[in-house]
Amino acid sequence: MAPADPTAVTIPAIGVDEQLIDLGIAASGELDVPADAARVGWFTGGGRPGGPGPTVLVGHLDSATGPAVFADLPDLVAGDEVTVTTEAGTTVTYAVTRTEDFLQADFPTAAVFGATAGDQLRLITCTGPYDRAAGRYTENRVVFAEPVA
Amino acid sequence: MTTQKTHRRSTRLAALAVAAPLAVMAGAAPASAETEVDRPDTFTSAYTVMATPDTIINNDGEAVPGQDGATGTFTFMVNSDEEIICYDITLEGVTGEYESPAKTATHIHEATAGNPGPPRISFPNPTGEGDTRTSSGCLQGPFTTGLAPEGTDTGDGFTLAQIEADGGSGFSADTHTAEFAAGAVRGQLQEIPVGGVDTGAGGLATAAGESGSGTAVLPLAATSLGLLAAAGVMLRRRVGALR
Repeated sequence: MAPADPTAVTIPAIGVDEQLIDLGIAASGELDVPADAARVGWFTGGGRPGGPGPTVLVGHLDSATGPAVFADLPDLVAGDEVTVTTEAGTTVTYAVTRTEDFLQADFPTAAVFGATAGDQLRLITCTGPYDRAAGRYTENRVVFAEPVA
Repeated sequence: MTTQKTHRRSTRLAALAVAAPLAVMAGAAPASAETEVDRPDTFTSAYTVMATPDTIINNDGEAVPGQDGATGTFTFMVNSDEEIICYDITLEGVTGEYESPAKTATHIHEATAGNPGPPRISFPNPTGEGDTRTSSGCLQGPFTTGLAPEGTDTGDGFTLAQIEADGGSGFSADTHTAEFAAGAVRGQLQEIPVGGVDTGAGGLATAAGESGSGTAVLPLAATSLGLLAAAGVMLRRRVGALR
């Protein structure tokens, strides 16, 4: 049976419990992001929980006025757990293995979005200096997680 | 801008190709083959492939087994303006000698899932000790495969824009060995994003020092390459894994 689409994510360590919205690829080639800073999205061209490849979840660090849904994502550390629910009603719990910051201008596409034989999870938000001229942060925090055995 | 080097083909593969059934059709590659180039600063699209042994289709369109237990992950970064494709390939459990009538045995084919199709780009074969073989670099077209069943190289006239036109789904990637001539592993291209992820609007940067890790770049400093470079130095980047 093919792995089902993810529908919700729970991250107890930072108080996140959210339904997911679909994200595709923008005309620019970049990943779409949620229009609503309070929502978490998943990349529909990636993997699914329980199947091969990375399931990629994305949320904003902040809105123009204050903290957004992934404001505390940078606080996650190795060992913290993340549970993803699928439309089939199944859940997969992942444990954070590492976190890394990357310049957006030198984003590690293969390491984050590249195919993997096993089930993987990535959580992405912004971090680092905010470039007012460009209107965006200059870095991304990427949280890498693997299923709990 | 880029340092161009002559693409070196494997002499071992060339020898193998002579013994291959279609070798009589090889050797027609024009002089204008692809060149190895440095990684460009920007990309127009990217694709990944999960290659497995249960997706192999021979030239007659029949499903045949690949190498049991083997897998391959391919990530391709494309700059179609400069006709450059960067590849990052890892094979696990593919054993034995490579073999293909083309000039290498690792390809992008113009082939939808479940169907055969001609190779359009020929990549250096992954190498390595043990169960893991890797290959990475960047090639700039025009591309040739060394395979010319009707007198014209199957890479002739191909451009990377053709991959971008349909989001990659009309193309597959695979590698061929002597034991699994139709392919040891194969998978379809799946488009993935390029560039960073724009997940912030600066609200926490405005209130720098409060919760969250966002910090403001002062307006005058926003254009300071020096400051951005300094920030870059502090990043724990794994650049080596990306190239």
